[in-house]
Amino acid sequence: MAHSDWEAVIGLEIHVQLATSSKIFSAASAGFGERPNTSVDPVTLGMPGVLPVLNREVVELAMRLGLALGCTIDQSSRFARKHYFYPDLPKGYQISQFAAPICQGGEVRCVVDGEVLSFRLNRIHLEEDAGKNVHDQRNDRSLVDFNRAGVPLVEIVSEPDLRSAAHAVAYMKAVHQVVVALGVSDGNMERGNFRCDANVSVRRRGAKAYGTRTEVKNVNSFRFIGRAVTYEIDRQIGLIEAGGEVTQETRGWDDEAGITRSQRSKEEAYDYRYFPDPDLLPVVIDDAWLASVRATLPELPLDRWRRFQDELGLSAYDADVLTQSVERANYFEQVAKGAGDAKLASNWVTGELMAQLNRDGVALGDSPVAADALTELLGLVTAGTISAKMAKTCFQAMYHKGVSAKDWVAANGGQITDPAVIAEHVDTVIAANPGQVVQYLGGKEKLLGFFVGQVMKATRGKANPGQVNTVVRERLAAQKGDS
Amino acid sequence: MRLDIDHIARLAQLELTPDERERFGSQLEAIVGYCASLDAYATDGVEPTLHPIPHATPLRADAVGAHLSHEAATANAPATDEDAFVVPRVV
Repeated sequence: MAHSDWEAVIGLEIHVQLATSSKIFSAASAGFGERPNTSVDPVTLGMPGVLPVLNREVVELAMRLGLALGCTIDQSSRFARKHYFYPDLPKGYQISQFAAPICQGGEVRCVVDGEVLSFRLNRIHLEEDAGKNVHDQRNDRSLVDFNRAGVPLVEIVSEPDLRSAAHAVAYMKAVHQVVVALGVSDGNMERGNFRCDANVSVRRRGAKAYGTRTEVKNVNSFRFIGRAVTYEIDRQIGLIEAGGEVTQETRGWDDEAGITRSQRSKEEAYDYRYFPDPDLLPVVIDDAWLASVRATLPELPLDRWRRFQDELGLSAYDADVLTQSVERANYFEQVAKGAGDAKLASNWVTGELMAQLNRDGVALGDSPVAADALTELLGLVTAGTISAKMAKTCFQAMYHKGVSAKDWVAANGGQITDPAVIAEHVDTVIAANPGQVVQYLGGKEKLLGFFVGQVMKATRGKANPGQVNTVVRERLAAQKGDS
Repeated sequence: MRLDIDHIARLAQLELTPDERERFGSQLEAIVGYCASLDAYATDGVEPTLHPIPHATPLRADAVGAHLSHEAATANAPATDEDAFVVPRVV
């Protein structure tokens, strides 16, 4: 049976670390890279008698994300205890939201094959992260660092609406773009601040009931999720077609081997015994707080992507490149507005500027050519003071020597646009090349480029190429009349 | 009120002797049975009282405060190495 007879059903759970200074329930640092077991306090370690006190910023960031994704914000959400034993969980339970999460519903919009798709969200809830276990195989032991325990997370849970690995990749990218654009998280995947688990099942096309699903853990890069979901879909179809059954279980992605492996079977029955955490009262959000957060929401990357096309006339591709980060989009918009030419600004930002920055491995924020400097340069181009070719030379001087565009023009001279001066150069070139003139007049019109090139050379690239072109044609045509 | 005492013990990661199993089992059944007397009342549509006081949870500003020293944090650990708590291998 062909793959086209099957349909994949995929839901994603994404854990995002919120961008706070301190932990969700205590004032211990939420920073990264400290000596193990130093960003800890009695609450982090689950000492007897401690009480959790909720970080206000955590609530605000979750609201921000929920509002941006069109969720319903529960103005009285609650925390529960989720019980299990694991060495990285000091209290024997994780404080999480269960029955009344802070955000419900909502949607994630993303672009797949040039088309905007919307995937429904089930919920977004708050919870604390666990510590970090390092498995020391050689010495047959595990090492535990609690610095990460109690760091604030949101878990973003989709509905099982995704149907392909391409959907999963686009969804994950869109969520990543939104959380970073909103300032909700730094989205750093190497540090584990943005982690994804995928629930995958398959069913025969047209079937209503879901197949048995597996949960693929920790597919923490856009490449991994694409490969892992593709593998898992193929594995399940192959299994069923061979007469087998999919076992409901947790599987881990092994990128080196390119396969998922069974980690534990759900038959061992996790019974988390959720109950409302008596230490924490309802998280009450009044209307004024909600309104103030709503009022400060920035434009979302996808909306900006559309606006760049609809209002500024950019291609979908350029708009996509420019909206990959808020910083880049802001830089571009400043230049586009200042120079009064969005396409020119787009060409320069995605072309000359990014090429140079990529070559040097420099971040846009550290660019030697700031947005206002590039704006000045492009202003000189649109005004005709310098040609596009001269602008590239000028840009190199700005980038490497820190000179301003105006200073460069003052030192090197602007574009030659005086018709009399251009005509003089053209006449000189024509007079110096009688052989080529005869050939041109004899029908070898390709030689036009030769004459233009000679004039540009004589003016060290400063003559306006358009004007030179026109004058060369006129003068040669006049010669024809004379002969 | 019958409880699956073995399941509860497993969730709590406790190993019970036959004597303890009998003793704790009947004690737990008495406690749960006492609460189960509420089942005699019709509570459909009644909001559960999750907290006895009608307050919102207090919030604190996002500011880093005091930490335990590494030495204090690990003082009670049966074993430490490489700055970490050492536990039996879990994977």
